[in-house]
Amino acid sequence: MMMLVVCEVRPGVGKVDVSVVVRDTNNVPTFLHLDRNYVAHRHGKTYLPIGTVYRDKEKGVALIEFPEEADSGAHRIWVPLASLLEPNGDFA
Amino acid sequence: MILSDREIKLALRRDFLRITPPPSDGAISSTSVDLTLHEQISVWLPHPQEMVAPVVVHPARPTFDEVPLLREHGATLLLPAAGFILKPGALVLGWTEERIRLPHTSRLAARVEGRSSLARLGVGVHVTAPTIHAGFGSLDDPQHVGTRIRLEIWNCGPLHVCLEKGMKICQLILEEVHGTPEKGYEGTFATQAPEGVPPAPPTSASKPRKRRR
Repeated sequence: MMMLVVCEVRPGVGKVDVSVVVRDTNNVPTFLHLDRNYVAHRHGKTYLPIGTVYRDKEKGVALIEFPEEADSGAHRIWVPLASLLEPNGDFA
Repeated sequence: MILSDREIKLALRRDFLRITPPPSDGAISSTSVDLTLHEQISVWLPHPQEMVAPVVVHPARPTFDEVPLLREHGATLLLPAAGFILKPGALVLGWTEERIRLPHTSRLAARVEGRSSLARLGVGVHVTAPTIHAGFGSLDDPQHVGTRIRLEIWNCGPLHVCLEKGMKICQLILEEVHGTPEKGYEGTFATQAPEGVPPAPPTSASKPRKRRR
């Protein structure tokens, strides 16, 4: 299921791209070098569309899947459930 | 199942697949869509002291960030009108001019592949990562046009090959996705789970769903 995960957006190396940072449950950053058009804006924050593989509401975590492989090679990471947003802007 | 030209055009008309700018009829062959090269490319530059102190990168570390590395050891430029010469052995990073959107509900995935005319010169367009997953470039915003595909363009031939803005650089092959993959849910991600979080079991999402098309 597609959702949005909160992310930091940093300048890329040209006019096409940006560097996107998504933080996992341990606050470890994962970097993705992406087309800037991937980034969505909701509630004054920046979000990256991702797939959700598994959600654990009791523990407040979710396993998400990136649209492209991260720079580190990671494809899926655990993030706080609170960092997710429904595509329509509702909180998860 | 690979989509034929007729099915590709149908998917475009139904907005199951969005390509911006839209491909001309000539860009659609019997089973693929030709995509063109955007003007921005990034090149890795030789380290001036490579022999003395080689640059070592650690892509497996979570903190690995490609952008600062490109800033320090590469250059990003716009293709000059006369083109950019891709020398034998060179690797550059590029983008497709076209933005692609594959809504996950359309159950389509794709592969980006090279063109035989370039392959015969020794030029490839990706390094073993051709998959465009279902959901690529997709937002619920109906106006969202999708995203460009990154290309890793390399030359293993003996000739100097000129890369020009707008040239046909790769082809997109569209495929139907059947069901939702469940392989890898148990083992692969167990080590990534935060402490106390069990590996994700197969969920109802892994059950094959009724096809929409």
